[in-house]
Amino acid sequence: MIAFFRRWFANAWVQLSICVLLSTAAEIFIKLGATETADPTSAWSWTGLTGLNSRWVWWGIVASIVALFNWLATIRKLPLTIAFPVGNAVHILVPLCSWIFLGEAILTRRWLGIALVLIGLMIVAKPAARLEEKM
Amino acid sequence: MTLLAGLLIFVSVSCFVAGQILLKHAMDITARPAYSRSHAVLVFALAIAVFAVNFFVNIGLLQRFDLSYFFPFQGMSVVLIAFAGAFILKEKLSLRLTIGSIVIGLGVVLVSLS
Repeated sequence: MIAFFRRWFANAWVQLSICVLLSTAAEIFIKLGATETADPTSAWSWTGLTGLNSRWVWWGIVASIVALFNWLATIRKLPLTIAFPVGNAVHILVPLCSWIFLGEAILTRRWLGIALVLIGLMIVAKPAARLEEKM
Repeated sequence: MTLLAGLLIFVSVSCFVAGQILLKHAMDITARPAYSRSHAVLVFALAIAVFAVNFFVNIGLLQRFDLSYFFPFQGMSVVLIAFAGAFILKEKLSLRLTIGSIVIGLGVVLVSLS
C-alpha cells in the first residue's frame, strides 16, 4: 500500500496536479496580502516589498516554494513544452477562485477566454498522454 | 493602465519566462552523467533570483489591479516558453503542441481584454 502510494506520488502528473493547486492557492493568498497592504501613496509600493507585512503573502510564499519543488519533480520527467502548457490549468483555476473567494466579477469575454484555454489544453493532452506511455 | 504598470507587467512576464528556462536548464545539467555542480548551482541561483523579481513586482501590481485582470498577462508567457523551449533547449515542438499553445495564448489574451 505504502509502495503504491510512493509510486503514485512520484508520478510526474500527480506532481504537476499538486503544483497547479498550490500555485492557484499561492495566487489567492498573495492577492489577499497585496490588498491588505496596498498603499498607492508609498514610493516603495511598486516594488511589492510592503506586501511582506502581510501573513497572507507569507502563506503565498510557502505555497509557491512547495509548488516549485513539485514543478522541479515534474520537469525532470516531462519536457517543458508539455509540462508548461498543461500546467497552465492555473489560468482557469485562478479566475474561478478570484470569482468564488475574492468576489471579483468575470464577464462573458473572460469566460470565453477561459474556454479557449481549456480547448488549448485539450489539444496538447493527446501528445502529452503519448509521452506518458513512453515513460 | 499607466506606462509604468505596462512596463512592470512586461518585466514580470520576462522574468517568469527567464526563470522557467533557467530552471529547466539547471535540471538538464544535473541529468548529465558528469556535470559541474557549481555550474548547476549558479544557473539554479539565477533562476531563483529572477523568480524573486517576478514575485515582488507581482505583489506591487496586485496592490493596484484585480487578480482576475492581472493574472492572464502572465499567461502571455505560455507561447514564449513553448517556443523558447523548442528553439533554445532543443526540445521537440509538434504541430499539435504549437496549435495548442497558440489557442491557449489567444484565450489568455481574450481574458486580459475582459
